[in-house]
Amino acid sequence: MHKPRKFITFSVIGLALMALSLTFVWAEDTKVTPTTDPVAVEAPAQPADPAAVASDAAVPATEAPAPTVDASAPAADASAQAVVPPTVEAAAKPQFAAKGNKLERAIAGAPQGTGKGQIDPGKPAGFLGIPGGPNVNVVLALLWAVWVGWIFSTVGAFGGVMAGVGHMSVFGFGSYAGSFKQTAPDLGKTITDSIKASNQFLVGLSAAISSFNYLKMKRLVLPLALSLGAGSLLGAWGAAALSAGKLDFKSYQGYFGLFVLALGCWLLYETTPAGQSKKKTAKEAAKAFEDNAKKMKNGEHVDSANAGLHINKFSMTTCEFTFFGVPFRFNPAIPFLGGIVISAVAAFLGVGGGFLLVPFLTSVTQLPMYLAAGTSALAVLVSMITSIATLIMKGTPIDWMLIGLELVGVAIGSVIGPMTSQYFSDVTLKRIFIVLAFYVGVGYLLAGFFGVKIPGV
Amino acid sequence: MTFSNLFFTLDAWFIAPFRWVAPAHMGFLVGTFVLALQSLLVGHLCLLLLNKVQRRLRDKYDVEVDQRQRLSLQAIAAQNKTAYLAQNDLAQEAYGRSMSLAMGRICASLWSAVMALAWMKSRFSDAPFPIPLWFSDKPINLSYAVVFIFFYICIRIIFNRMEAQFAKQSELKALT
Repeated sequence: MHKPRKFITFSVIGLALMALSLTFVWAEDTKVTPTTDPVAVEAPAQPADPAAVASDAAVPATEAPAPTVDASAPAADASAQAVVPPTVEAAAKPQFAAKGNKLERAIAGAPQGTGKGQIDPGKPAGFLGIPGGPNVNVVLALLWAVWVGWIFSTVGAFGGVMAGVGHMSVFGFGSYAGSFKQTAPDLGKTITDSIKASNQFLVGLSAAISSFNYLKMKRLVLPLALSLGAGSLLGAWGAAALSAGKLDFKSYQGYFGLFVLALGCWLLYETTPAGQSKKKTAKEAAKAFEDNAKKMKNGEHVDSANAGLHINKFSMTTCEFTFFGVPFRFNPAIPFLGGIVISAVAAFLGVGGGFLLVPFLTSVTQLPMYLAAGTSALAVLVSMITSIATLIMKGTPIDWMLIGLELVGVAIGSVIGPMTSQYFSDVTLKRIFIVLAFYVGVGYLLAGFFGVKIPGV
Repeated sequence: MTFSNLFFTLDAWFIAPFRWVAPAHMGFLVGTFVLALQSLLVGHLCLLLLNKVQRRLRDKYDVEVDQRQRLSLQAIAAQNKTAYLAQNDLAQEAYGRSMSLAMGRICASLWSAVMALAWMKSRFSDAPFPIPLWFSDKPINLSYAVVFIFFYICIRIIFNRMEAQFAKQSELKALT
C-alpha cells in the first residue's frame, strides 16, 4: 500500500519531538545523579568491571521482589539508580541468588572460582547476566543474524538451523553450557533451555507471519487447523514440560545434530534427479495449463457460489470440505496424532515443525499445497507459543536483547537475500546448504553423543 | 561493542520518563507508556524505510503470486486437479519469496519492542506491578512485560487507525 508522505513526516516529527523532550530530562538526570550517589555515576565509566560496584548495585535488586507499591517501580523511587548499567545489577545477583529465580538459584549452586565449570563473580556479566558468561560482540551477532535472514529468504527452513548454530557454536553458548555438566548441571540445563527457547523464537515469528497472511487469504482449513493445533499443543507442552531443566547440552547437541542431518538428506533428495523430475513435471503441467488458458478466448470462469473453502461435514472420524468445488476429505484423528508427534519432536529440539507438517498433510490428508502450508503454519505457531510459554513459565531465562538484535539482522538479511539470490541457482544454493547441513549435523552428532569435536562446530 | 555497552548507553535515556511523575505507580505507567510509544515509532520508521527499499521487488513477487493464484483458480474451475496442484506448487514458491520480504518487514517493525522488553527486564524483572483486587486483600502482581505489551498493543491499534485515516484523507485529496 502506498504510504502517504504526510504520515511519514508526522512520524518523524513525533519521534523528533519525543527525542527532544527526552534529551532535556536525560540532561537533567546526568546533572543530578552525581550529587545523590557517586558510586552509581562512576559505574557507567567501567561497565566491564561490575565487581567494583557489585555490593552497591545489589541492594535495590534484593529489595525489589517484594510485591509492595514501593517496589513496583524501583526506578521511579530512587534517582540514585539512574545510570547504573543494568548488567551490573545482573552481575551482582549471584551474591543473593539462593532465594532468587531459577537462573539465580542455579548460579548459586555452581562452585565459585576461575576454573572451567565455575562461576567467577569478579568477571563481567555475560550471556543471561551470568558473571564470566560469553559476552557476544554486537557486530558479530548482527552479522550472523543478517546471514540467518539471508538464508531464511533464500532457502527457508535452514534459517532456523543456522540461528541455532549461531547460538550454540558461533556465540559460544553451547560450550559454555556444556562446561557445567559435571560441576553445576542445573545451570548447564537452564542455559540449554534458554538456547532452545531463543532458537524457537525466530521460527515462531516466521510461523506467526505465515499464519496471519494465510488467514487473510482464507487458506486455512479451520477444522484441520483445530485438530492439528490441539495435537501440536499437547505435543509441544508435553515435550517442553518434560524436558525443561532435564536436558543437558551434550544430549541436546546430539539430537539437534541428528535433526540437521535429516534436513540435509531431505535437501539432498530435492537435488537428485528423482526430486528434480517431480518439480519439473509440476512445472510442465503448470506451463501447459498456462498456455492453454491463454489460448482460450473466454477462459474458464470460477463459479462464485463455489468460491473459497466450504466445510460440508465435520465429525470425530470425518471432515469433508470443498475447495472451489473440488471435494476433499480426511480423518481428524490422523492430523491430531501427527500434530502430537511432530510438535513434540520440534519442541524438544527447539526447531519449527513446518517442514515436517506440510508433507505430512499433503500425503495423509491429500490437501493441496496452499491449504497445507497455511494450516501447518497455524499449527507451528500454536506449537511454538506453547513451547516458549512453557519454558518461560518454568523459569527459563531469555536474552531479549540478543533476540531484538537478531530481528534487526534478519530484517537486513531478508532485503539482501532476494536481491542476491538471482546470482545463484536454486540447485547451487541447496547444494551449498547440503554440505553445511552434513558438516554441522555430523559435527553436532559426534560432539553430543561421542565427545568427538571437529573444527568449527 | 558488547551488549553491556549497548545497554549502558541507552539506560539513562529509557529510565528518564519513569521519573516524570512522582508516585511510583504512576511513574511506572507513564514510563512504560512512553517506552512503548517510542519503540512503536522507531519500529514503524524502520518499516517505512524497508518498504521503500523493498517496493520494486515486492510488487514483482506480488504480481507473480496473484498470477499463480489466478491460474490455479482457473485450473480448479476447469476441474483439472493436476494443473491445479502444479500451479499451487509454483504459487507456493512465489509466495515463499513474498513471505521472506514480509518476515523482514515484521522484524523491522518489532525489533525495537523486543529491545525495550530486554531493557525492562534488566530494570524491573524483580519488581512486579501490583493491581489491587476488590474481592481479595492480596493484589495481583503483573510482570513488567504484561504492562508493556498491553500499552504496545493499545498504541498500535490507535496508530493503525490513525494511519488508515491519513491514507483515506490523502486519497480523497488526490481525487479532488
